[in-house]
Amino acid sequence: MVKNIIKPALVLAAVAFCSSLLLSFVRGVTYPLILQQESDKEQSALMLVLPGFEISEPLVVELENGENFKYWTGEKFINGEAVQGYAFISVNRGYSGDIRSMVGVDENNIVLGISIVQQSETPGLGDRVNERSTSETIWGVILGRSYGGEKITDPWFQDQFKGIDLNKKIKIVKHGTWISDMREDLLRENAVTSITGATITTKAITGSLKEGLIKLRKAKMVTEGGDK
Amino acid sequence: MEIKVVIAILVGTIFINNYVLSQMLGLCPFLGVSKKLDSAFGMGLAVIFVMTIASFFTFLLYRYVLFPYDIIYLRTISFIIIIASLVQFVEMVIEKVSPALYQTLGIFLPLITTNCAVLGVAVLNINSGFITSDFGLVKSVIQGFGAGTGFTLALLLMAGIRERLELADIPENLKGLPITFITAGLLALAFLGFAGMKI
Amino acid sequence: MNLFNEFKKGLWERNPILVLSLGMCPALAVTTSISNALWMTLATTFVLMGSNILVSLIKGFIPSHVRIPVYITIVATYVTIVELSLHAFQPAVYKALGIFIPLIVVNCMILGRAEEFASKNGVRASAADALGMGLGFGLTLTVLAFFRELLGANTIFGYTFIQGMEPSSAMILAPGAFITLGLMLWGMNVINSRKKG
Repeated sequence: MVKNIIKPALVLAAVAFCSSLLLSFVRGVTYPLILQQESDKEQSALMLVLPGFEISEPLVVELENGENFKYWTGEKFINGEAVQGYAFISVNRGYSGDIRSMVGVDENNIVLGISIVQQSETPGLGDRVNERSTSETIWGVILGRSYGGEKITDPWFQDQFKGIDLNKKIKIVKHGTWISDMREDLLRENAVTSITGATITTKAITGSLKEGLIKLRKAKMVTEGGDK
Repeated sequence: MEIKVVIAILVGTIFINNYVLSQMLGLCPFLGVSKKLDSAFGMGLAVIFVMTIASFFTFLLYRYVLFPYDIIYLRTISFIIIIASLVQFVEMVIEKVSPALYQTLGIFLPLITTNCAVLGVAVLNINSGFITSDFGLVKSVIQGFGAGTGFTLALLLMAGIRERLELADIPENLKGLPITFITAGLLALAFLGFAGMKI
Repeated sequence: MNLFNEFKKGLWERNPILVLSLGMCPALAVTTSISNALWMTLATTFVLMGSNILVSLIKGFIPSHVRIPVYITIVATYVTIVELSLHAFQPAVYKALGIFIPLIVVNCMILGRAEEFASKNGVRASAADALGMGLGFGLTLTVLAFFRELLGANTIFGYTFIQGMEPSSAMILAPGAFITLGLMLWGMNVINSRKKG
């Protein structure tokens, strides 16, 4: 009777023990890689939103509402003149969870680029923020040649934000999937085209930009002690 | 915590992101038990109970043990053990309280352990950011309850339709699973109408 | 015991998804693209083979009434290994498969085969069974994913299908999954009845 309980319990304990041993080992091997990924992601997003800039170590400022705001300053030389750029991560609640975007702006609050670092939106809808449009079709691949047209490597939804003026209101239009031909017309109206069927995701991202900029201003006032 | 938050979570899990018809979780029991309305209802209640309590314990485990001691990688194992034990417990209770229900549910009761929706809601509670938000435990439990209710709703709808389908004249090759899945697809299409709603 | 037969049955006659109705949750949710389907198959087959082999090896030592907890612990261990490995070596895939990686634990196919087959058969047969089941699972997933990706995102394996065509989102979402699987099951019935009649 006692044996009925002891043996099963021992077997279970043995299995559990071996399992924990094995898992600690695997975890030890993979953990450093996982941590490395997180920092790599941030670095590559920075490079993307402040292209060609020399980016300094981030500053962390405590804002009035107690939040710790982190931002980067970058410097680039255009025609011999030094140009400043700033990058920060803006967060907003999207359709299903937070959306974190790395945003790069210049001194005049014009967007230099955005890179969405984290989102968990609906696949096929909000998920399309990371969709890269390519004129590389399956036929081109099968037949062994491309069908011409530019191969765009940045996600179109994020690419269209380049040049958007954060001082003005950002308009959201519904012109379907963005192609580079649309850039001029859209920028003239300071507009972005939303993802078909994912207006909430689009609004969340656009909203977060303005908010992030306000925080950036406040943070700069604290560090630089000036006005802007 | 306002009532608005509670309503948002409930409507979200029952209609907008219904665990079966939207997130495609919990399909095995969904197909297995949805043939008759009574067994569907009994199963639904058992699942609501398990999901709610599981949400409670898994959340506590994560917040006070896994997260602080940096052993998050043990999440999958520890959660499934909690769920398996809970189901065992529910089985014993039902056997004592209502032997008839126990007979009807048969093999499907222990199968609640492998119901992806139960482990799913436990993991989703964590992913929803409740760990760091106020009233996180309460929100998790409400989400667990809502998930179970949504599952039951889908189950009841399916059962109602399948009872009618029994009497319909269906082509031989469509009988059984094919027509069931197509029906589920149409139900899912209907529920798609809730998509995009924000409360 | 013919090893090849144990392997072959998982592909059609005892196809886990289409015939045994096991492993459907992931089947519907990760078939939004062929790439996801393939990675999920790899992950699941790894766990299935690992657990079948291990269960078959130690079946003599497991007392009957703790067998389910033991199986679950074994499967959960393999799944955690897959989780950690994918997160470290293939972060994009880890993100794409998301919550369905831990859900491999409750894939009825894995526990089902452990209980039904591995606990009663030799190691080599169990391995063959696992491989066949995994492949059958994968084939079904790939066919499902092919249709859903094509109609729902206008791509095949990431490459655009028809320029400028806006795809049907419903295919990528739940309704598309259910209906496509329903039609596949119907197709299978038609093929089977042709064979008989």
